[in-house]
Amino acid sequence: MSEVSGRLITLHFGKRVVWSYPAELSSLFGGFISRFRTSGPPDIALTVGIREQADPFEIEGFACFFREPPSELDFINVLSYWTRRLLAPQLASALVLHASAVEARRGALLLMGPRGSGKTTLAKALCEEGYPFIAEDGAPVGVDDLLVHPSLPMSFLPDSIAGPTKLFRIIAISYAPGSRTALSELRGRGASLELLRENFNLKATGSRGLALVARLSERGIISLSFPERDEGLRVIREIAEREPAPR
Amino acid sequence: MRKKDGLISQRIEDGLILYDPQADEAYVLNETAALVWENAELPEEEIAAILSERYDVGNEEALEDARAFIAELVGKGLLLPS
Repeated sequence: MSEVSGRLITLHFGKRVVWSYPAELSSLFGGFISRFRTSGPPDIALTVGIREQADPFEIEGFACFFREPPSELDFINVLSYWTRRLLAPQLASALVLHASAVEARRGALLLMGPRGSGKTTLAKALCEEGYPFIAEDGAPVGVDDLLVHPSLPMSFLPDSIAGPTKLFRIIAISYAPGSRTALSELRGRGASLELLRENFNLKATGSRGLALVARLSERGIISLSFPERDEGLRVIREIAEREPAPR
Repeated sequence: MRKKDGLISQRIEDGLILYDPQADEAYVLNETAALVWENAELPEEEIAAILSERYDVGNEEALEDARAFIAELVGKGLLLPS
């Protein structure tokens, strides 16, 4: 963890939040954020820092690190995403899958996978082709109605954002340079393992969340390993356009 | 043996998902393990008889399998001595 020093301010977003941040970011906190300043003991302590890293920003629970000081607009986008990630574990009405999502002809198409699997890259490319955006990096699936709820994008600006959309397909993706494209259907235990691994809030959803995992595992999910972006896109496009919707 | 309080389980087509909300840990069991889990509070010999009948295996083998899996469940704190 980087050393972070600077003055502390307290915000009130329903809860009192204390931020700590380095001097380089004081303009952000002295600007739009200070308008929300309030007093009282904090409920949440958040840290924002600058450090050397490959990605423009990285979130580690209650800390967020930037590679360089962000613009105010970028910071707002990251803040919105970070807030969703922090609140996701408390959400009980939807299971938040570690997935990006777009709206295809037959419903919401989720690209699920761990960091570096290509979720955002592929979702962005699909949005550029005209698929409406639904979610980036965290897709909430309603535990009872299978509706995928939209959220603001974080790292790109799509032309259109869909409304709540019925789930069509979940594709567990894996970017594997140098390998051959591999496509298979996972059901039952295989699908359950993927869904249990790639969600943020099973604990909060409890038995309803577990019932959703079972329901989704019976519908089946697709497993796709692809060697490069265009090949992944080709396969996903085929699924989006040709696959019948599962039961 | 008794099951730890608060566990949630859900049948799937080829097994069972067992979730421990307290530890926030999930386990995916195959059919055989699911059958043992569902009968885990019975004496080991009865569990073995159920396995033996369902999977057409000898009683000795079934008892060995049941004991091994029960020991695993005890090790993970999912089954407790009654």
